[in-house]
Amino acid sequence: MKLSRNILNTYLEESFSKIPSQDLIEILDQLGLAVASVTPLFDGLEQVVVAQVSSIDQHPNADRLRVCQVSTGDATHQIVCGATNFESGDFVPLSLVGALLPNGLKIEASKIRGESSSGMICSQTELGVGTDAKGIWNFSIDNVQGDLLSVIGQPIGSALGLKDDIIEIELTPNRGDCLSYLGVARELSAKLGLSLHTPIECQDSKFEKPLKNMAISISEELVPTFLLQVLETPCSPDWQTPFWMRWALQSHGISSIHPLVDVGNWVMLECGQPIHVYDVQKIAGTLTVREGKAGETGQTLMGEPLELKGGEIVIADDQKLLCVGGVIGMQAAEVDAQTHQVWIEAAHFEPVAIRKASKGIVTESAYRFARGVDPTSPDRALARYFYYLKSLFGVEETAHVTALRHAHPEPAVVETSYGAIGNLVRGPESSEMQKILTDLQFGLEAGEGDAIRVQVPPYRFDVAYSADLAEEVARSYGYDRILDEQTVQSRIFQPTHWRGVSTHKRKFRLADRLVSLGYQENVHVGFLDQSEWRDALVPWISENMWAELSNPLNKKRRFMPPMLFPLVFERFCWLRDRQMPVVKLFETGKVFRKDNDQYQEESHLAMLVSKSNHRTESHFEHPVWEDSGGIENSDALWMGAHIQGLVEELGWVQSQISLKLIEQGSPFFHPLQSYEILLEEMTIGFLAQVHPNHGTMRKAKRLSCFVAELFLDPLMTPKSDLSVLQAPSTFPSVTRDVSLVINEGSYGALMAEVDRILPESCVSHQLVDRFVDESGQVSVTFRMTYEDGARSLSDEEVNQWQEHFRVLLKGQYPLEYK
Amino acid sequence: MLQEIGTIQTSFDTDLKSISSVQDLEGIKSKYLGKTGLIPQLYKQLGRLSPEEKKEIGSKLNDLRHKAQTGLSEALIAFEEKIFLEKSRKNMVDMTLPLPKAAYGGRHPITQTMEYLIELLAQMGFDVGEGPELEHEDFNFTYLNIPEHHPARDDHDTFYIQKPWLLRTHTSPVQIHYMKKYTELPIQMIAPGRVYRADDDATHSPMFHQIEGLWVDKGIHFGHLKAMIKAFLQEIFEMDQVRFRPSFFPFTEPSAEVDIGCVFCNGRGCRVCKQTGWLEVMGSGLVHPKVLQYGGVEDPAVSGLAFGLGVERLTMLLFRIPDMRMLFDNDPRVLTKAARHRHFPHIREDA
Repeated sequence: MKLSRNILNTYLEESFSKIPSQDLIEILDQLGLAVASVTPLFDGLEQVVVAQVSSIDQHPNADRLRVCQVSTGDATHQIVCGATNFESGDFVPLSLVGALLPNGLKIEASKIRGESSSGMICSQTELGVGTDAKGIWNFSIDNVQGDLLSVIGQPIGSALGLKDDIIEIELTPNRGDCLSYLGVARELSAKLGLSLHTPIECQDSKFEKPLKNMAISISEELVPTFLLQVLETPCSPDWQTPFWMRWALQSHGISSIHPLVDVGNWVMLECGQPIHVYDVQKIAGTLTVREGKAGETGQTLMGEPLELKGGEIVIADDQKLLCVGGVIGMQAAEVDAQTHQVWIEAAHFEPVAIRKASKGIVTESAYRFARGVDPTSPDRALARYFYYLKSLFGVEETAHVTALRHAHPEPAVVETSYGAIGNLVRGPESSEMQKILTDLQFGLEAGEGDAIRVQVPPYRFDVAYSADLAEEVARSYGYDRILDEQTVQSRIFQPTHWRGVSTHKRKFRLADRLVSLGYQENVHVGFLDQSEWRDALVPWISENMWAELSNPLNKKRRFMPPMLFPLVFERFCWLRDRQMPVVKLFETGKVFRKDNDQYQEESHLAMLVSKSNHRTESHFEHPVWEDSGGIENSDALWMGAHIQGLVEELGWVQSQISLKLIEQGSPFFHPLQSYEILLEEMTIGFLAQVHPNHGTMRKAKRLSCFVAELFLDPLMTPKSDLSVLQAPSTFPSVTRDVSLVINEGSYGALMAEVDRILPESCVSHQLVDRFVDESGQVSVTFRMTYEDGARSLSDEEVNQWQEHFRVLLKGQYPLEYK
Repeated sequence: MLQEIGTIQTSFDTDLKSISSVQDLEGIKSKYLGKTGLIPQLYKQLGRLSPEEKKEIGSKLNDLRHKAQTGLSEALIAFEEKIFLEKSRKNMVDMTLPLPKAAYGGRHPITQTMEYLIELLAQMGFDVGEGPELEHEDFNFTYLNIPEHHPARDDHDTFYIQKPWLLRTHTSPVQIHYMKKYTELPIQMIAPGRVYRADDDATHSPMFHQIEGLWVDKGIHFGHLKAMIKAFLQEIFEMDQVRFRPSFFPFTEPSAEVDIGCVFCNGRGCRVCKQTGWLEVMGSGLVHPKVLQYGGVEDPAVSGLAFGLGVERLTMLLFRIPDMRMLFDNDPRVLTKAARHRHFPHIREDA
C-alpha cells in the first residue's frame, strides 16, 4: 500500500507533518505496519523549473526536431526538443544546465544538429515520477493547477506542491483496515496521541426504496449491505478528473479512467470502501444482486474472458453479467466517454466468498474485501463520493441512496479482563490499557473487578480473542518496552525432557561415524522421476506405492522417494560427469510409500561408494582406499564392515550383521553381488554393487559403484548387553592354527560346523588367511584361541583337544587338512 | 718398554683417525689387539722384568690396552652412526610433498547447523519432537488456525499429494502432535526437520529445513518470549542488539518478527542488511488460544510461547555461503570446504 506523505498529513493534526518521514519508518514498523520503502519525489531536482514555451520553430537540419524558446521568467532558453505534444504558450518542466536527473543524466549545454540547446524539457519518467513516457510532461494539457505564470522559474516540486514522500507499507493479511489513508491515520493517531481529521462527511442514513428495476436475492450472509446511489444529473463531457486526483491515483498505480470512476477509486483509497459505477443505459431490465450460476460468462474490464464456477456474488441484468461483486466489473456495463447516466454502488461482501471468487484475479477491490472492509463504511463512502461530485463538478442534487439491503452488523464483543490481558503482556497498567484500547476506538464497558466487555470497531476483522486485545495493547505500548522475564514459575526437571533429544543425537553420531570412515554427507531436494527408477525399485516398491505430487514444480520429478539411494546415485552420476568419479557419499532422510489411501514414512540411510578398478592409483589423487587384504572383490565386504560399525554405534554391541545373497533382486544391481543385511533375524537393509552393465556404469568402465540402504527405525531400539564386563584372564592363552582346503561350501557354513563342535576351552576363533588358487580351490587358515581364567593351560592338553577337534571336524565336513 | 708403550699409543691414535670403513677398524683391532697384535706382544715381554718394573710397566700396559679397546668400540659406534646417517639421508622422504588424501569425509553444513541449534535448545530445556513430512491438511493448517480460504494459506504455496494429504509447509504440525500426545505441563519442545513449499529461485528451495519451538505452561507471557529468544540469539550471533516488531502469524497472538543487529556491519548499514543495520532472523509470538485449544489445552491460565526459524538462512550466515543452491548441489569441492569453514558471526568485516 503506497501512501503520499502530504495526503496522510491532512488526516492528522498539524504537528504530525513536522515528523520527518525517516522517523515515521520506525513508528510504523513498531505498529506492525512494515515500511518497505520511502521514496522522495522531486528529490534533488531544484534545477528543474516551471517554464513556458514562448515560440517553436522547425529545426533547420532535422525533420523530427523543433527549436523552442522557453522562458523561465527571468531568462529565455533555447531548447531543442523531439517531442511534439506541446504548443507555444504551454507550461512545461525545464531541466536547466547542471541538473542531474534521477536516471543519472546530467544536463549540459550542447549543440544538436547545429542548433544550441541549453537544457531539456522532460517527461514524467525522466523526472522519476509517474509512468508517462510518451512525450514531455505538458503542465497545461495536464491541467496541473491554476496560475502557473505566478510560479514560473521555480523548482517544480515546490512550485506545484508536488514535493512529497511516497511511503510504501507492507501489510500483514490481518490488517485489511489499513488499506486506506483513514486506516493508517487512525493507527498513527492512537499511537502518537494526535487527533484524527476524518475528512469524511457523515450523513444521516435516509434510504429510498429500491426502484422497480433493482432487486436482491442473494443471502444476507454473503451481502449484508448493498447500496445504490442514483445520479439524476446526466454526465457532462466537461467533467474532468482534477490533476491532483489523477496524480494521487497514479502514485498508487491506479490509472485515470473516467472522472466518475476516478472519484470512486479515490474514495476507496481514502476510506477503504471500494466503489463501483454502472452505466445505466447498458443495463437491460432489472439489476439483480444474486448468486452466479456455473457456466455464466462475460468479459471483464481488463479484457479477459471469465466463466463462473457457480455461487459467486454477481450483479447482473436480465441478459448478462454486469459485475462480479467486490471483485471486478464487466465491460458490458463499463463507464466510458458516452456514458450519460450512472448508478454508484457501495456494498459489503463477505470476505471468504470474495477470496473464493477472486482466485486468479487481482484487483484493488478484491484485495480489500478479501481481507475485510468496514461493514459500516458504504454509507459514509457514498456521502464522500457526493461531496466530490459537488465540489469538483458542481453537481447540486442531494444524494438519495437506495438501499437494496442495509443490515447493521452486530459489533464483535470480547469478554475479558485487564488481568487476563496483563497475563500475556506485563508492563502496562490497567489505566494505560484502557487508554490504548479507547484510542484505538474499542468500546469499553467495565464489569466486576477488572472485567471488561470490549466492543470491537467494525473495521477490525482480526480481533476476536483476549489475545488479540493483548496484541493491540502490546503494539501501542511498544514491544521494546515490555521487560524480559528470565524465570518461569514452574521450572521442573523432567526426565522425559530427553526423550526426543537422544534419538536425534544418536543419528548425529551415526553421521559422525560415517564421516570418520571417509563419507561425505549430502542433503538433497528429494523428488524423483518415476520413469527412471520404477524398474530399479521393483523388488521392494510396486508402481501403486509411489506417492505423487498433484502440483509439482517439475513435471518429471514429481514423486516422493520410496527409497533413498536413487538420490545419492544421481549425485554420483553428476559428480562423475564433472571429473569427480571416486566418492563416498551418504544421506539420511525419509522415504515415502502409499498403502491404499494411507501414506507411510520411514527413516533411511543411504550410502554410496565408488572406486576405480585400476589397482595402481595415485594416493595423491584419490583418497586412500582400504587394502583389499588379499581378498579379491572385497569392496562389498568393506561396506559391510562400515555398516557393522554403524550398527554398533547405535548400540547393538553384541550383534553381528550378516549378508545374505538376494536371489531375484533389482535389475539395477549386480545379480551376484546383491545382499540383504540381517541383524538378529531382522532385515535392516541391503547392500549391492550397481550392475556394471547398467547404462550409466557402462560409460564409466573403470569404476565400480556400491550402494547400501539401511532402515533406521528398527535400529533405534538396540538389543543391549546387560552382562557384567569380565576382566580378561591373567593367564596366557594358547593358539592353534588350522589350515585346510574347503572342497565346497562357504566359510560361514564351515564356521557353523566349527561352532557346533568347538572345545570348551576354546574362547574364540579368527580367520587368519584365505587363498584361492588358479583352479579355484579355496584354502583357509583360522586360529583357535584356548584360555582358562583360573590356570595356565599345558601344551599337552591343548594338543589333545585340538586333535579331537580336527578328527571330529573332518568327519562332519568335506575338507582336506593341509 | 715405556718408550714402546708411548710409540704404540701414538701410532694407534694416528691409525684410528684414518679409518674409512669397518674393515679398517677390524684391521686396526687385529694389528693392536689381535693374537699377534702389538699390545699382546708387549705383554709377552713382561716376564723378563723385575717385580717392581712389572708392576709399573704392567699397569701402564693395562692402561694402553684399555684405551685401545675403548677407542675401538667408540670408533665403531661413531662409525656405525655415520653410516646410518648417510644411508638415511639417501632415503629421506621429501616432506614438502603434498600429504596423501586420508579418507576423511564431512558433515553437511545444514545438518551441522541443525545439530548446533538442537543442542543449544536442549541445553535450554527443549525436548525434540518428531512428525511426518507427508501431513494431513488439518495438522498443517486447520489446527494452526489457518482455515480454508484464509489468505495465509496462499502464502504457503503448498505441494499437495492428494487433498487432504500434502507435504508439510512448516514443522508446526509436530507441535500439535506433541501436545496431543504429551499432556502434562510444561510442554517445552522443538520440531526440527524438512518442510516443502512450491517456490524455486535464488533464495528459495522447494525443500528446506526449519526449527520451530513451543513452550506451554501456566503463566507464560511476552516477557518470557523476549528473554528466551534474546538469550538464544545472543548465544548464536554474539550480538546484543535484538529487536521485536509487531507482525502477524495465524498461530500466534501477539506476533513478533525478530531482528538482530547486522553482524556484518555491526548495525552501521551495509549491502547485506540493505543499509538498515538489521537482519531479520526469526518469527515468534504467544501461541494463539485456538491453537492451544486444538492441542488439547483448555485451562485459561495456561499460555505458551512459540518461535521458528529457517535453517538454510542461518547456515548461509554461519558458513558464509552466498547462494542457497550451493547447499543442495552437494558438490564436494564446496562441501568439504564448508564443513570446516564455519565462521562465527562475531568475526566481522570491518567495512
